[in-house]
Amino acid sequence: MIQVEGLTKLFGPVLAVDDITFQVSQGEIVGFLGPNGAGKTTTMRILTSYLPATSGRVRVAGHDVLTESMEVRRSIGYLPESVPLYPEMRVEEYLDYRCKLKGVDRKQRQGRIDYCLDHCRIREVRRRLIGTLSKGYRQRVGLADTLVHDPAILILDEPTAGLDPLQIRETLTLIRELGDKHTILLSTHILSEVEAVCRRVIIISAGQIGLDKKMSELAAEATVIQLEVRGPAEQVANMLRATDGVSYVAPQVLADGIVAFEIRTQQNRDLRESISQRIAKNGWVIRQLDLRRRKLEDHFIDVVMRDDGAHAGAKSASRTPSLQAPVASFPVTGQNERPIG
Amino acid sequence: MSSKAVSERSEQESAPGGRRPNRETAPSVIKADDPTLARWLAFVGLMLATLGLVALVAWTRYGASRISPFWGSLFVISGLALLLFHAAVDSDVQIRRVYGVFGYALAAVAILFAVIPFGERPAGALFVPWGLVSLVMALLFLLPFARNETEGRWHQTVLMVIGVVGLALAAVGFIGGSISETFLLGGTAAIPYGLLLIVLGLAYLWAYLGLEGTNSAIGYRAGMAIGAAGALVFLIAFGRSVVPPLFHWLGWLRTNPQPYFVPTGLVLVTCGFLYAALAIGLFSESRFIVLFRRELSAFFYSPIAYIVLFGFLVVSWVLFAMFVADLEKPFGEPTPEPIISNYLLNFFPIICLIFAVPVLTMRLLSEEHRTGTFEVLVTAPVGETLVVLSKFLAALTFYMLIWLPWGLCAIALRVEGQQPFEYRPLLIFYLMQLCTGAGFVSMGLFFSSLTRNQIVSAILTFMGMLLLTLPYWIIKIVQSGGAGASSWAPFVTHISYINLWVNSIYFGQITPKFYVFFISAAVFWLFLSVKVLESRHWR
Repeated sequence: MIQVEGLTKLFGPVLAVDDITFQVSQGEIVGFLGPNGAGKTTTMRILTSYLPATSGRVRVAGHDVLTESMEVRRSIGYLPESVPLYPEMRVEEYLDYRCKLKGVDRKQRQGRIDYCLDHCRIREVRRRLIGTLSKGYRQRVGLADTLVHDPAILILDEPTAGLDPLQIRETLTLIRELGDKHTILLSTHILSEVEAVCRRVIIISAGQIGLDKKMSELAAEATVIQLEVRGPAEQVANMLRATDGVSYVAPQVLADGIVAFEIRTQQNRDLRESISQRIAKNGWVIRQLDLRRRKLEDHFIDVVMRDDGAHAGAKSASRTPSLQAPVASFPVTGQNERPIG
Repeated sequence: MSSKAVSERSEQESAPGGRRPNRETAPSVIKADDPTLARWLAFVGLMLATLGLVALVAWTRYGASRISPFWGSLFVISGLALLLFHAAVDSDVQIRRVYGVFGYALAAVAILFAVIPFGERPAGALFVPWGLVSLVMALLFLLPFARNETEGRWHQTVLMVIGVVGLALAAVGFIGGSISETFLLGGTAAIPYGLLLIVLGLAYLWAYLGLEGTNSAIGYRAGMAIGAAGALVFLIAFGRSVVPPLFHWLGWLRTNPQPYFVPTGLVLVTCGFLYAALAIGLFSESRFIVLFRRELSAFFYSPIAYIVLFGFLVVSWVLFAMFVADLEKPFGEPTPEPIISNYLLNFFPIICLIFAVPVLTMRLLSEEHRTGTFEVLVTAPVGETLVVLSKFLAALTFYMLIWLPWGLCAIALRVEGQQPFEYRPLLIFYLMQLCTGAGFVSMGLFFSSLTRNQIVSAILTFMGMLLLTLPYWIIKIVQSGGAGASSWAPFVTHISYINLWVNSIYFGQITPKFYVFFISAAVFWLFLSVKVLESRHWR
């Protein structure tokens, strides 16, 4: 439904989007993740034909964004981050106006408006002036506006920005429901939202795509066993490597005689019990034994930090992520490692 | 006493599909006020109206009263206004029905005025003004009644009454007006029966269509019928104006036909156009009309528009009072025709215009850029040209509206003074306003498209208006300087709109070549505005 090839956008000398390529198929809910200033809004504006690309090709719903922008606009519903609405109009009046602008047939108009009022739960405020509504309601009105002509694709720019936790949950539920019938591309920098709603995630940082994977693939990635032991580093490491099923061991010496290990196992087997038994047999003391899946947050920090390193070489040494556990995107060897950043 | 103290917060019924409905934590409960203040005001209004009515009746029958007619009429008008306010606010069943019945009674009184002879006067003699006044009041009271009435039978009845009265008025006005010019525009009696009936019919039908709603089937059909009728009248009047002179020019007609276009043809064409425009404006699905409608109503949501309207109203009142005083001075020289030029041509409205145009146009596109609604507008399947044109037309319509009081006062002069005067300069005046207004408004729209800051666009437009007004004084200085006919003089005269106004009204001719400058300027500014908006595609 959405095909982006080699998209680049320059605002004068500023490279906002740098040669990105991705696809969104029909029926997918894709989370467009990235720090502020990464190029998410710019990409979305290019997709909705509001801005032109400097180079690259973008096709939305089978139409080229540059040459067939009218057809593109008929097939998308776009909600900008600031949810701009006319404060002097009433909700129902505004939806009626947008219906007519988008060419919804007169016989279906009332039905569509009723559907949007019910689904976005703004029926109670339908006679209120938009200027008197709270942020959550304005967001819902904006969302209703995107749905009113039943588009195939929804492009939502930070749809939960500024909402309270209950409203966030309700909005995400609504988006998940809409995902059954529409293709949704939503941008955000709140990871829990993406984990809750999206089936695929694209992480963009400094104008480049760092990660483009399905959530199921990410969940199936290697689990890591965190181990902290009081004992001799070399011997413990050798013992661990000799354990059946262990594929990789990374030791790190901490203060006061504790050694931390990051252990990867074959086929993601949970070997915590056998490891703890063997350590106890050898008389060493376990301070921590934990099984960790790499969270989306870890991927996110990886992508952002990796790009930071690529773009700001000299500064990388001074940058450390403030996390408890050492995180590494590549296997690290040797002592005194720092995460590659 | 009121039954609507607190409105129930409706619980969500379980939606189909088994989605668990979340309890609404917002919005706030709406607590409808007891309309106590409105009721007090209605009492006061009723007292004032009765007092004023008694005073006026005393003046007409006995010629004397403690309360002067001025105060009497003021009391009546303010009393009725307060009653209307109460009617709009209070939706209690009994009260709104009282107002509804009062509205029906007023309409019945108007019908009585039309058909029953009073004393020695023939039937319909008192229809203007009393019948018309009571029809207007009937409409004003029936409107809030119809809006507040929720019970089916009453609601249907009032809608039908409004529709039927409107239909009758329009039919009599158009048919009578097409048959006889005296009926339409008034002969020596100077009362334009036909025109008044047509305009009142328009108001009634507009009310009917507005109440019926644009989404209902019967409303849609009624709207189409009204539009078709308006278009029919337009075509017939246009045909009668144009075809006989055309045949005569082609040699098919021996005798020179009587001029029909001015004034009868023009008036009927305009009225037919207004009816068709009403139907198109309310019912058209065209994106341009939808945008135009929204833009025009957006003007009325901001206080600036009302300030400008009121300001021009006051200016026209003051000028009219000065003009009438000047006409009435007992020992002065008689004023030469066109007398109305003393009223229309004046510096004060021009100075107000230089300020009013920037104020009206400054927010058109600047607001959209600043709030981000422009992004939402153009990501709908709407082109920039449509956006610019709809805003331009809405601003132009509002611009023509601020000049309305001048025409109304001229009509009042005709009716009150009972002396015919040359009124065609008035028509030329409006035509000129249309053309020069197009030029001003499009310039304001262009400057508004350049910036997000409304003040900057207002200042730029203001400077543009000053530059356009300047040529008039340049001409005066050049001519008084006695330097002889400079080669620049015709050029500057062509540009100066004040010269255009003065010449048109004094010479009373429609010379298209003078309008070309402003119309082409309008096209130029609109083109630039569209390009400015499209420029985001090149950056």
